[in-house]
Formats: sequence, C-alpha cells, structure tokens
Amino acid sequence: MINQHPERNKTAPPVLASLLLKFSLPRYLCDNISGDLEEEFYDLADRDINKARRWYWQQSLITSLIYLNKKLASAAFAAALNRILAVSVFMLMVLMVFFLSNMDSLDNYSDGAWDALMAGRIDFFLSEPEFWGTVPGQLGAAFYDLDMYLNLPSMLFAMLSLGILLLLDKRQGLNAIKMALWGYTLCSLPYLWGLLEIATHHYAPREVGPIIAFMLISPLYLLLPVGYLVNKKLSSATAQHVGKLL
Amino acid sequence: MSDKEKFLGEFEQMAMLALIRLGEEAYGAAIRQLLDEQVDRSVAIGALYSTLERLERKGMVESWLGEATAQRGGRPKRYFRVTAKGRQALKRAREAMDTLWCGVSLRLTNNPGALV
Repeated sequence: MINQHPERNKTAPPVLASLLLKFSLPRYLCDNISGDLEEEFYDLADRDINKARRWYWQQSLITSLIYLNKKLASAAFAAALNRILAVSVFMLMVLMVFFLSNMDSLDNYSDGAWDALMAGRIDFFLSEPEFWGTVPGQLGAAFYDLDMYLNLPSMLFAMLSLGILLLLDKRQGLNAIKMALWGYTLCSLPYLWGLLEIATHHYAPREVGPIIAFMLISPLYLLLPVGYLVNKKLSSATAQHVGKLL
Repeated sequence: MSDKEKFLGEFEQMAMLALIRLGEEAYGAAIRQLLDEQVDRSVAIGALYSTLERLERKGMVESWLGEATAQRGGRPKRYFRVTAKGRQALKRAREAMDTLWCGVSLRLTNNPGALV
C-alpha cells in the first residue's frame, strides 16, 4: 500500500491547500486527515511532483467542501450563530431603550417618525440614518444610568417566561430547536403584544410610553438567559457527537 | 423498515470490506488506496472519513488513534475496525443481494434492453 520511503521528497504540500484543510476540518480529525494526505502526497511526489500537487489540491478542496458543509449544518456553528444573534439583539435593545429615554426631539428624523413611535413601531428607527449616526456616541453612555432599564412588568414577564421554559425543559426535555423556538417566541411576544395593543386602542402619547418600555425591556431581560439556555443545549449536542469519536 | 433494519449503502459496504481486508493496518490513506487499486473507486479522503464517522455513530465501526510518525509530519493515524454489529450488517446485506441475484444471469450485448 503506502511506500515507506526513508528519504522523503523535500517538496512540501501546497501551503494554501493545507491552510484550507486546517480551517475547514474539525479539530479532532484535522491531524488524522492532514497526515493521511501528506503521506500520500510524498508518495506521489516521488514519481511526479506536479501530479502530486494537483492531487493534493483536489483532495483538499473536496474534503474542505464536505466538512464546511457539515460545519454549517452543525450544532457548533448554530451555537456560535445563537451567541452572536442573542448578544447583537441585546445590544440593539439597550441602545433603543437609551435612545428613547434620552430623546428630546425627532426633528432630524423622517416625517413619519412621530407616528411610528406613537404606533409602537420602534423598528422604524432601524432604517433611520440619524439613529445609527448616534450609536457610536451612545455605546459608552448607555451603561452609565441603569435606572432606565428597570421595569417591573418586564421583570415579572421575564421571570414568568424563564419559569415556563425551565418547567417545559424539565417535563419534556426540550432539544435545542424547541428551546430556541419557545425561548425566542417568548422574547418577541411583548413586542408583538405592544403593537397589537396600541393598534386596537386609542392611547394618549403619555400612555404609550409604558407600553413601549414593556415591549423593549422584556426582551432585554430575556435575550441573554434564553441565548444561554439554547447555547447549553447546542453545546451538549456537539459534545455528544465529538465524544463518540474521541 | 426500522432504522436498525436499514441496509448498508454501497460505499459503506465497500469501506467496511476494505477495513476487514486491511486488518490492523486500516487507516485513512491505506483504505483510500485499497479502494482505488482494487475496485477503481477514487474517493476524496473527506468522503471516506465522513462515511466512517457515520458508521462509527451507528456502532458498526470503531476507531482509535495510533502512533505519530515523522513521515506524516508527526500527525497520528486514526485506525478503524469493523465491530461485531458491523459484520452482522455486512452479512445481512450480502445475503439480501445473493437472494436477489439468485436466478439472474447477465449477458452483455449491444442492446441494453436484452440483458437477461
């Protein structure tokens, strides 16, 4: 099978192809697969170095594609995506609450800004360049005064939601997908409820404020704990898969 | 048909037979070369490992790390072996094929429709 040459051909496998493999292969298999390829590469290179290089590239590309595809569909990738999304949306909520708590005028915003705000459509401001223009300046200041993030109804809703999630998990043993579905649905419920509540009632501007606070601060409390619970499920799924191979 | 009763795929059978033929020397590069030389099946090492990983999850193959050699840049080999469950599945797949082949004879002609 494999020739055991005492003196190896000094030409090394293509560096870029090796880097591609290192990037795409899971850590527990990287050394084994790279070693197998290197062994065959030197064997081929003794006869025809160009053929060996072509073969190594071909093998690396196909192998990388197979494992990149697996990586994209894997629990580890989903866990990373879950962490990024949960933290990003959490930060966005922090900025929104800070913006709405400190905003004194909507003069620089589009015409419909006030109407959107009164309708509870906070997402409207995400498409406003003026809002994003103030973000860098807000990032530091947003954490100075934490009082603006305290909201009793939101706290109660968050505690109730987390209680429901933990109870469901205890009784039914939720998997990662169900945990994410339940958790993120609970996170988005206050916002959806707020939109519906404002649309179906006639509230004075002063009365809309507490509803908007509930819409934004409830997910703020829930996002990180839910993200953590989903991540825990995904991490255990990854560990079970890798554990079988070690 | 339950999950346990599912038959092995063609490449799964080939990979497992290669493991049996190679015995104690069944590791990635050797398996890949045996398939290439014996049945003219040139596969990517990634496709082979992917299949072996799947078989390992099903409990039909087991693997362990071997020695790290200078020839492989100090990287260890991963050796594979077919388990008793895997041998049973292979036997079952062969019996099924033997049963289906029984009484069938192929005579290659220019007319693909006139094989039997």
